[in-house]
Amino acid sequence: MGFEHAAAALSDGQATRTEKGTKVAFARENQGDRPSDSFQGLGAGVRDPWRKAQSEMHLFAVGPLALIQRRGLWGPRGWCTIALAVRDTRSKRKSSEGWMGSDWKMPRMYRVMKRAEPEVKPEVGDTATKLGVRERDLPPRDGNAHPGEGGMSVVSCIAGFRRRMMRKLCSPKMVPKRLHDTGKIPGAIGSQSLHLFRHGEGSFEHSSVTEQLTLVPDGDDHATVQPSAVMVYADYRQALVNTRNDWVSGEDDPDE
Amino acid sequence: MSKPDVVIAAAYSRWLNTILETHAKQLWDAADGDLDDDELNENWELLPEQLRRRLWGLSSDLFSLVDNEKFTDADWEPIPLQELANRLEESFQKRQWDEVLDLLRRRPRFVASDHVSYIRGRAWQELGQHDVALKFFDNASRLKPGHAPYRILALESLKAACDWQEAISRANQYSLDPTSSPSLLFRAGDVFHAYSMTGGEDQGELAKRAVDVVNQGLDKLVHLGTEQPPDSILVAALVTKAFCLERLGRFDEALSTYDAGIQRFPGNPELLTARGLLRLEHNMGGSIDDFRSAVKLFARSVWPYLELARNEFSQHKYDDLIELCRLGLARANRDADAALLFDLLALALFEKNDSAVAIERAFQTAVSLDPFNLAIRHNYERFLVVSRHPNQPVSGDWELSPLPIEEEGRVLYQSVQPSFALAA
Repeated sequence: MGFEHAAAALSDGQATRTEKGTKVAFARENQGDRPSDSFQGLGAGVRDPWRKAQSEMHLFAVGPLALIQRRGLWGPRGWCTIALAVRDTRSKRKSSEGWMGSDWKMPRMYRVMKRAEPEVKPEVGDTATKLGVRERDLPPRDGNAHPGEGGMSVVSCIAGFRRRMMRKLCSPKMVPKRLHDTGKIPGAIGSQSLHLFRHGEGSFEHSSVTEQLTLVPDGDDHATVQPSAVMVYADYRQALVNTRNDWVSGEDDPDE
Repeated sequence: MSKPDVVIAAAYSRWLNTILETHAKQLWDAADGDLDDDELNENWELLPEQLRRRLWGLSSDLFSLVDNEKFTDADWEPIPLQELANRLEESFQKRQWDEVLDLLRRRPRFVASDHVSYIRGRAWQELGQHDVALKFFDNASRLKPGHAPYRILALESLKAACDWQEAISRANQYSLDPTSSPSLLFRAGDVFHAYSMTGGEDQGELAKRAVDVVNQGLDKLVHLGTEQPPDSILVAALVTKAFCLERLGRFDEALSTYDAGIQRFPGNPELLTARGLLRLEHNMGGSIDDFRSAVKLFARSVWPYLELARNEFSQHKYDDLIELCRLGLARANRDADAALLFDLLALALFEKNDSAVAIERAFQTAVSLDPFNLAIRHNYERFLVVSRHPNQPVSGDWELSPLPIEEEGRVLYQSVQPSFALAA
């Protein structure tokens, strides 16, 4: 693994963090606007946790001095950046051991959202059928989003979605009629512009979705994606938006 | 805090219409505004779980109308055929319509598809949603073309939903169709009559049309091989015809229609009652005999008991009157009718020198059942005066309320209509 590449990846992340705060680094991670070289998994924007862990070890065990020298991080701003990077990594280790394990997977969850044609990605917005959150689902307090007070609704699986819908979650108009035709959700009469998206592959349990978001199951088949810590409400919304590229079509997935 | 019923009812109604409209217009291909989605969804969240399940089920069942019904059998615990049949039967008998609708979606699906649609129609009819019931009856008719009971049920749903334009249109269509069965023609004729009763324009024309269509059905009956309608439908048709003739001022023809009906169904007390009312209203004589015969045949409607009781009062046959009141009260569906019977009962008890307590209780019941009936109030006040002055003669100073003969006819007409269950 190239030391220089690791250093370059870190510097990308650092540069954005310094300017806009941590959320921006993750925005880049999820929006897929990083260079698509073979080392894109290194550094703060990494998706694969194993590779992420490797990159962090390289960073802190082998090359800090070289980094500092190469990237010109001397001075108050540079030290601040390094301190932030160290703190972030420690907090990851502390708050979510899974991030460090080789079998860690983002929790698998489903949500019906409008599809942003022509790609199979959700539209962003603060409605019940877009990637985002309504204030009624997580009321802001003093302009902040607080954990444990709600979030963006998701479900565990298609069958769970069906069971859930029948009882509470949503109406027949909020599920694309296509899912009736495939026999997955009989009675669905929603617009065909809606799509059933899936995010992640891991267990549907209380766990981190991203650094800033946590999946919190609240009963059979249902969970909310909540802020991991108290954060500015706009940052929470942005954190949800940042997951956009990780949502894929779940319509052909098995029932459970 | 639970939502007020009126809020829930409004949300339910809105969602019901949304689902029906979405299916009817296949709106899933149309673009939806986000705001609208959210607003609708808020309405959804007002609904209790039972109604949400019902609406989801309806949306699923409506796909059967286009042969695109889907099931998720993995969601259900398997049920043996016999157990499923028993549970369906039990739910149907107990009128647990949501349960019936749920069970119909489960495997093994042993009920024929047209019958499934019919049962769904029945369930929605019983749930008071005649527009939904209509869709399933029409579907049953599509799946079993030419089966008159399904078309009749659809007509009944249109009537109940007051969709007169469509009902009249279909009735006209059936009257022009040479393959229409007598039953269907009879019920089509009833559509014209029922519409005329709503007080719309051209009542005379509508009554005439009703007579024509019923006659069309009666003419068909004489042809060999024609399907014979159930007695209840034929009786109802005769009453429809006679009522319309009466509205047209053709009293003798109306009387002849009843005569023919009674000749064919001599044991039918409703026909006797209807003829008795016609005779009473138009001073034709013989009405008391009709009422007496109807009572002997245990008529279902209260009118022959009431009319005969009044007659017995004038004849001072108080024991018979008391017995008639007892029988009549068991059949009185309206408070005003029960009040008349209690009034007569009180008078009979008074004339028989029964206890003042029993008489007063009967009067009080009559007044409480119909507080605005002046004749009953007059009688009660007379009784109170007399009970304070026992030596004062009062006999003959009673008032009998005028009977609402037109209303009697209307209620009687309803009572002879065939039930939906019989029709299918």
